[in-house]
Amino acid sequence: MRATPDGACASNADDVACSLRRLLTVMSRFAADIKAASGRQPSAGRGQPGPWEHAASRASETLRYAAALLQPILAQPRQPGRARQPDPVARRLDAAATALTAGREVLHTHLASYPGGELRARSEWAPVVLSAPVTRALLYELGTWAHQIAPLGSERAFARAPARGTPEARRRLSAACQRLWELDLAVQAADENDPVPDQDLRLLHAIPASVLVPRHLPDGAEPVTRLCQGTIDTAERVRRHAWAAVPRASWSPALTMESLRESATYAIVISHNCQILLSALATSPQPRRAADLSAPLAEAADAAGDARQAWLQAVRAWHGLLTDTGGTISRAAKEAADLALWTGRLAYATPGWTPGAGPAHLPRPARDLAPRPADLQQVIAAVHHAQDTMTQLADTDHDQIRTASATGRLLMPVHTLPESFDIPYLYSPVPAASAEPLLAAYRDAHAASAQACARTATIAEAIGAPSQILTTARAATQASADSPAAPSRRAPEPAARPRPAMNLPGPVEHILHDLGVTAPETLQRAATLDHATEQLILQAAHEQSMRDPAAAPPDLSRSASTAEIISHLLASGDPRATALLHQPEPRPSAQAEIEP
Amino acid sequence: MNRITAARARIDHAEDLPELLTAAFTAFDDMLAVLHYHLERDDGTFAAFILSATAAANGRDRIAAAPSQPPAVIASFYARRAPESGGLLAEATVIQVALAVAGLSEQLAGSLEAAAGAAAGPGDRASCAHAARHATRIRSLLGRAREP
Repeated sequence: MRATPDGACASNADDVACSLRRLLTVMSRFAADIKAASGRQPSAGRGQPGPWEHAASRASETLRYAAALLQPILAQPRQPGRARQPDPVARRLDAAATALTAGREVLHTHLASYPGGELRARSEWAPVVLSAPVTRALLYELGTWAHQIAPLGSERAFARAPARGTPEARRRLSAACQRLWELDLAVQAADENDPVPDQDLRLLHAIPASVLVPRHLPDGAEPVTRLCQGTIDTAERVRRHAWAAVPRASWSPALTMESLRESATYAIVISHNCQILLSALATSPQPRRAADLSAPLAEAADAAGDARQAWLQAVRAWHGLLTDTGGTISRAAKEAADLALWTGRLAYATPGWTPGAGPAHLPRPARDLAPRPADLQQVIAAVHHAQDTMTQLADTDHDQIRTASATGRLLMPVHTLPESFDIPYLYSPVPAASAEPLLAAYRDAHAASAQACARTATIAEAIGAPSQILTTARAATQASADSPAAPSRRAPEPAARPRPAMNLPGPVEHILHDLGVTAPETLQRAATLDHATEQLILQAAHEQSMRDPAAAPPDLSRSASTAEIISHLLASGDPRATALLHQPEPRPSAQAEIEP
Repeated sequence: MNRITAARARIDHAEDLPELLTAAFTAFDDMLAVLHYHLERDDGTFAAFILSATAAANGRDRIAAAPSQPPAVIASFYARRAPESGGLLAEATVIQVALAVAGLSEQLAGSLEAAAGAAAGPGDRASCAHAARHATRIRSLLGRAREP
């Protein structure tokens, strides 16, 4: 590549086209993910497609067209000769492709892909990844990326000397970028119709990789911040193991009365510890806090106490019931024991607190717990995670018990069965009706834990605790599970998030720039001429379509001069411009993916 | 005589496996009743008491499933309408309660471990071994209780 007088590398449309092709490949995979996730959502297949379903369909098509346009360029061998620096825009596109690939891999740590595009859950985050709110947020981001990429490619496609690149490469690059504008406009139209809340975008960005922090226990020397982090890490481990146990409930030897009873008992201890923590914070001095949280904290402490009582009833509801296997303690129960220890170390002033430490241990005073607002955020986040985990645990254990009952793994003494049951054994599988009080107790524990969690979530939101994302994640999965409309979580309206129209020079203005013209009034005249030209073309296209609605628009982008006008129109954000785009049939080879 | 000392006496006097199983079953249930009675008395002992109560319930239910357990014991247990309310160490401090239950669980664990080693049937051996572990857990949770 020839260096320009100022030392920068000249642009090369071939390089940019190759890099854009890689980026489009990654974006196409995201579009396929969105399509697969949409297929699992309850609204799919009902009535007319909504704005986001339409946008998803357009995204998939436009990316396929764009990739097909650039396919032959990739097949061309690089020119032999000395090594040269790639185009800077190509480097940026390559970096974007790498970053997006990594982002997609993070999301896919929660999913397993099966032949035919089916996605299955591999973690408790999978329902969030596949939820309608996150899918829409991802599609919104796809539009944002297209909005950023299209002007970069267009600029190279229409660049004057000393730019390089074959005319064919430039033409195809221009046409591919036009498809990206089209994708951007389709997503913007959907967002205007049914805005993506900011909280859903934050949720998408907050989804962690499916990697658990290794199990570790407190050694007694941790400050409060590390105890909070240990609580959060362990809460995630409990959620993961509890979630993983549900599909194994019909056969797993770890499904035992002891496991489930111990899990519930640790839920009592954890709820108790949360109650102590919230009570301590409720009594902390007011000047340390920006807002008066005493009443909400006291209410949250009471709710934690209610959850504790509900879990106690769940433990008692096991009276007279047994499982067909015994002795084994599940991973979830062991992790729940760890969580009880972490929350206890946080709640009590004694560094070496254990459940068996006895009564000589006082709660940790609020001045040690949260001396600064940032500390309060950490402690509330830890409590929030622990309570969210208790809510999930009630749900997963309920499902395990229901499966155990349905598969004959839940037993009761024959003496407690009606006399009409003639069974010559000491224990017998429970009739469905006899399992119902136990299941009802777990449903009550779930409701009470959810209520306690909601109280703490309100405080987390008020003080900006990092655990707020849990609330959004639960709402996302709930919205997908309930109804397509899900009105309760759509409000409030998001902050205005308009994408600025690209203020790129049109063809006439571009020529004046190339001539070195800097006078504002002259450049303004050029911009006015460009605008008038575009409006004339739009008007003519509209009249043509009124005369013959069935006629497909001709491929105006075949000429470099008209392609530049069409690209400028698309960049201006005028949705009518998409009507000018010719819809080519994609080549079969466009489906063949290449590794970016 | 309170329930804990009565349970210790029954374990001491058990002469064969069915008698020990019956005494163990009753002892676990007695510990459960005592622990539940004192559960809410002190924040500091709450965790140890509720975890011990669960271990007692698990031990009771596992020993109930032992093949040599006399069915009449289980039948009468589940047939009773309400648990007995006496002998719950109502006058004791929580530390005295903890230590009394810890002492019973230690004795119970030793007896059940011995029975697990001597029992002829695999079902009885497994039930005694599982129940002994639950008794050991109670002792470890409550045995370190000291007056503040």
